[in-house]
Amino acid sequence: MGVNPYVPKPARIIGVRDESPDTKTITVGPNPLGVFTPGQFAMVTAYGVGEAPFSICSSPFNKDMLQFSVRKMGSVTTMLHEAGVGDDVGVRGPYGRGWPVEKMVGKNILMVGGGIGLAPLRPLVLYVLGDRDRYGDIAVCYGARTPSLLMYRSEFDEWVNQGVKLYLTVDAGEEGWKGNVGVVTTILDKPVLNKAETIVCTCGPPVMIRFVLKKLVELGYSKKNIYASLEGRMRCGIGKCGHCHFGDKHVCLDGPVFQHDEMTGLPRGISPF
Amino acid sequence: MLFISEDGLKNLIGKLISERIVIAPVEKAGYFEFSVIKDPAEFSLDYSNTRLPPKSVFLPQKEVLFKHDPKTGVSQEVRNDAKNMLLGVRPCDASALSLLDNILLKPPYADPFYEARRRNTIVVSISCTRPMEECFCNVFETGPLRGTGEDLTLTPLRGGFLAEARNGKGQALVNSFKNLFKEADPASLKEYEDLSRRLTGEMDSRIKVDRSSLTRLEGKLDEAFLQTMAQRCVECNLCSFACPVCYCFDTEDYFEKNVYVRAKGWDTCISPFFTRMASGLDPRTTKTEIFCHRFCHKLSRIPLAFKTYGCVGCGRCVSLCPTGIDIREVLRRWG
Repeated sequence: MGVNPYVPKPARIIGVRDESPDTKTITVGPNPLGVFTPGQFAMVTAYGVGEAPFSICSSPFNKDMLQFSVRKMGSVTTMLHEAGVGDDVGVRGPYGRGWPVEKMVGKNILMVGGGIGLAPLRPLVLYVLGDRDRYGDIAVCYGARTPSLLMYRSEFDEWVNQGVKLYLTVDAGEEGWKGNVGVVTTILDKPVLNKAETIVCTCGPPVMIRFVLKKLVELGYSKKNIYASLEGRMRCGIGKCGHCHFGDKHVCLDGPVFQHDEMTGLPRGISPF
Repeated sequence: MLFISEDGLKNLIGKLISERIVIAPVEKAGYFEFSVIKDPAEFSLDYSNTRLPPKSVFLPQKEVLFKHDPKTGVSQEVRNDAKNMLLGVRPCDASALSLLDNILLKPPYADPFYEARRRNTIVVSISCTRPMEECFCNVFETGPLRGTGEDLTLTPLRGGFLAEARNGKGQALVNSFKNLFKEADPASLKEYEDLSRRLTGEMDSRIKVDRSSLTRLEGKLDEAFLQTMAQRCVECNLCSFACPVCYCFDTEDYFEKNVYVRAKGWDTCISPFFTRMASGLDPRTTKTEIFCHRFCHKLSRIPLAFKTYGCVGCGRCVSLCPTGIDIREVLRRWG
């Protein structure tokens, strides 16, 4: 029998960090998957419960561990929330097509995230900061419903120190919040970038992606430089189970990152348009 | 072309039964089902087609993917190396296999369970001489005499069968029973031609479709038409489970005898939960979108991707649907 791609590789939880009231970032090691491209995902197994797809959110330069930000949503994520350091998990991947990092060399990069949608963008931030001189301006526009739901808050100062222009917004402020209030499209005009030389990467809830894409085009960003990461109910991650098959695309194989014009051909529902 | 007599085939089946697990249509409670046979006499030709396709020989309804021992942390693979012979498959169902090969064996992630079963199974088709009312294999040229996924095609003629090895595996089978086969005589070939002409005419008079116009079906199917299907569907899922081509699966994890087990099992895009994620987000929510996906996937998307159709015209979804949903309506309107 050939290689069985359905068997996860064994890994162990070596760290857990509370990210927001409903999200934890788990660190697993050793890294059983090796090299990955920012924006790729992995299937994480909570043994006995099930398996679910997660963006790999750690630095692609870190060969020793992988990180996944897990929002408590269903049975697998609940189990991963209950798990602690030392518990076994299984990991398969890396799967799918990540962000177009080769195309970004020498260009500006604008990342637009909403809520937990920052998870697939974080490895991109860490990737470009790891080789900062190869890229132009790096800007991140990030919004969440409330300040406490902003992911990776503890790292923002470090990102800014290393040259990321960071623009934050929340739908509803909390006590002490001095930043912008409003959806993420209200801050998309803040980064001053040479738009023709900028690659844009976005991820968030589908409704956010829809309005972000529209606004980006209105602002003058080129469609050929706009990418979004979509999600489907990936069961196998390798294009066999049929769950994330829409039109002529499998989200797990052809995505999760799609270029603007690829998304216009997708059926209603999965298409952000 | 070769010829094997009826007794010759019985002889061949008998020899194979001692070497392999031979699976053939057997009558059970008024229907024909693929079952293991131990005696060549159990095999009969008295069927139009089996109630269910032989899909489960290659894609069992439930299949264990791996077992994980929490004490040792070791995942064990589950292997199945049984040698099978699948006998009496109709060409439509055999054609479904070549399509499944395209999808499930596609690199870099070939499904190892399906691959092993395909490799270990000899598929012998028997031409369909009595197509049922619901059959439309002529539309996709997946029958009635020869399919695309079998190793050996047998066509019943007077006194025996015309035999055609379709690949190396089929040729090897013929070679190992050389004395049972002889060159087909001109009378047999003439009989085959006549049969082919009669069946083609018979089926074409029922339904004739311009297949090329089915590509880009997605832009043509109208909401009102899909509504008529969607309103009738009771989500019994029979159309998928009885389809020789439907391959979608879901997975389930459980704890059994102190080990964690993950199994995969048949799933269907007709299910309203098929695309729904844990967050509640669902990219395909309406019944019309579900039917659009089902028809377009089979009739347009698979053909564009693989130069072959996602439907083989076996007619089972038509005959089994309790509310009369009929894929031939799509073919008639847009084909």
